[in-house]
Amino acid sequence: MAISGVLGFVPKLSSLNGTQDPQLTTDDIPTPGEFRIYRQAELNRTTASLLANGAILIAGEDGSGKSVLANAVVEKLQTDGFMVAFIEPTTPKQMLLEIAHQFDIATEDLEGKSLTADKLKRAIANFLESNTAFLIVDDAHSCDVKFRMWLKQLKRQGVPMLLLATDPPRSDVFINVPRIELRPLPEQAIREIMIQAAIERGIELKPSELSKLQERASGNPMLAIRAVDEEYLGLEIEGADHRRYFDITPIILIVGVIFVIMRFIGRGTNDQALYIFGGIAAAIFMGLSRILYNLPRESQRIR
Amino acid sequence: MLGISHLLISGTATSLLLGTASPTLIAVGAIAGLLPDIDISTSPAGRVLPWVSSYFESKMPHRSCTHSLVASGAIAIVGYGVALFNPKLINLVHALSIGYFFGWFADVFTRGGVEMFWPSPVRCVCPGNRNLRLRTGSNAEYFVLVLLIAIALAVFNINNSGGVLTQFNRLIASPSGVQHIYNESGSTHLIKANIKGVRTSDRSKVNGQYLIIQVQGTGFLVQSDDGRIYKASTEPDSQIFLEEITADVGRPAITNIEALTLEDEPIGSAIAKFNRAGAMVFISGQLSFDTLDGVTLPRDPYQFPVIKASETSITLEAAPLAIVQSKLGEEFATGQLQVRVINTSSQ
Repeated sequence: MAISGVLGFVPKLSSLNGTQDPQLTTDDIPTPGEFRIYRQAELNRTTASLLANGAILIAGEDGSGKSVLANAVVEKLQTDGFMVAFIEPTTPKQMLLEIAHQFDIATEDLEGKSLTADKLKRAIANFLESNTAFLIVDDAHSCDVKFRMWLKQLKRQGVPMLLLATDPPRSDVFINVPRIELRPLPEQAIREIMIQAAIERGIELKPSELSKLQERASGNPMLAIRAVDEEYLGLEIEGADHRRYFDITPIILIVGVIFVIMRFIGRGTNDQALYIFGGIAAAIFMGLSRILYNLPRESQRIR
Repeated sequence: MLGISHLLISGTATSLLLGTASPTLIAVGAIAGLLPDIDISTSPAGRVLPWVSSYFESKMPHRSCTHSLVASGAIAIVGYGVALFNPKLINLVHALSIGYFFGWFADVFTRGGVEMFWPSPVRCVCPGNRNLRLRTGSNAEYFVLVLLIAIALAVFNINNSGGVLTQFNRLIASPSGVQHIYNESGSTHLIKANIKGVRTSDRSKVNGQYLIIQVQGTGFLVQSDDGRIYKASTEPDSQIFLEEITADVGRPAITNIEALTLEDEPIGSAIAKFNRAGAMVFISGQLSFDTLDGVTLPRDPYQFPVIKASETSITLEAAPLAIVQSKLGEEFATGQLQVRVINTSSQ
């Protein structure tokens, strides 16, 4: 992803085409309430794909900016005069009703009875077949399987749709749709977001404080704002919830391997001390790495 | 992680890896351990160099660029580049590189981790479970700090008395360790061997300190304080069968080997020139005689046979000058001798 293409995300389309200032100072930070699109490249690619009657999946971790991107796509398409249905997962029937409502499709028959889910699906499919309209489903991974299978059928019909999901399974509609994976935002963008969040909360953070808080964001805008919130609340937190932690315990094993090599050198050169020393050190490091491997794993739940 | 923890970790690592107890090198390593935190103005390094820290802290998160292999590589390139033109600084550069590396690597064990592979935003940690990693200023960190102090003191002490492998050799008390010390310091110092074993003749216990004269097979020829010479080894022809042997480097002594050729001349006058004050002289070689009538050679079954005689020749092996002088001084002989002179500093 070209860094130059990554701009800000904003609910206000007026600033969608704004450029990023490479030399950021406090004066350059947008005023409270104003947002920037930081994922301009993804926004352009997504809208282009939808306008070409394609379906596209945007995958990314929680807080990576999918919903903001979806909102920007919706506003861009609506500004261009297209019909867009933007839904979030609820019960299948409610989702269908929501789509029908946004597309102005009748949800009752001529006798005034509410349409069943199957009839709603058919009505929506017919509508999409005869009209140019876009379907955008946020948090699509939470939709139930039957609904996703219906989306798959719609996709086969050539309905342009945007799915946004966190860790989607490699099956049904998700495997059928081209995918954009959201990368971490560049540090400068994260810093901008944090400064703006601090301004909105009326707190003044020094660069050193921001630098420490930014450790916890690791390219995730939601976590960046959360870190500012936590600072605002006076919470002392060191660890973060992003997924870019990498366990380097195997390096301890590599140290053990180096000592095993030393042991062989000692044996080959008849250096008894090196042989015994290497052997003992290798045993210690191998044992240590084994212990580290067997330490209790971190719970996925918040405890 | 606290500054003191960084100082201790980097100082200890420098001492351990360089095998040094030099205060300068350890101090350079320890201070280099504080340098990675220059990316934040509240750290000691950041306060010393505020312009550098303000640049880093305004651009990037804490523990990113300066806590990476890239930064370590940059420091090494600059350091070794300088050392290329000024080789005297090479040890300081080693200390700087090691100290800097361990300075940021120690943060791997903290909650936040480090961007070891910067510019990749991946944060490297160990262990994977955040609840088991250190929190700055926590009780766990103080516990680790106490352990670090103990390790640091042990490492400095070990390095001050010869280094890890030397101390390990002392621990396992094997001949190869003594050989290592003898090879290292034998030409410039007296090497005293502390021997535990048994006499091969009657299996009586031996436990004492001996001077190493030279290597013999897989063992050593050693001299006791009363001047007796033994072969100490695990070979069958030795007089002392070794169970444990460690070595201490004694006072300075220069060992020289000189050659001496005899052409039917009296041995006593030929070797008399080696009889100097403060010199221990041991003679090896083979001499042939017209006759050996009237020569009585010492034969002590407990000692190493320094003089072996056949009908017309004598083989010497590390024979003390005084013995050769007294037993063979009057004889005329032909042959070549090697004279090992250990010159100790005068008392």
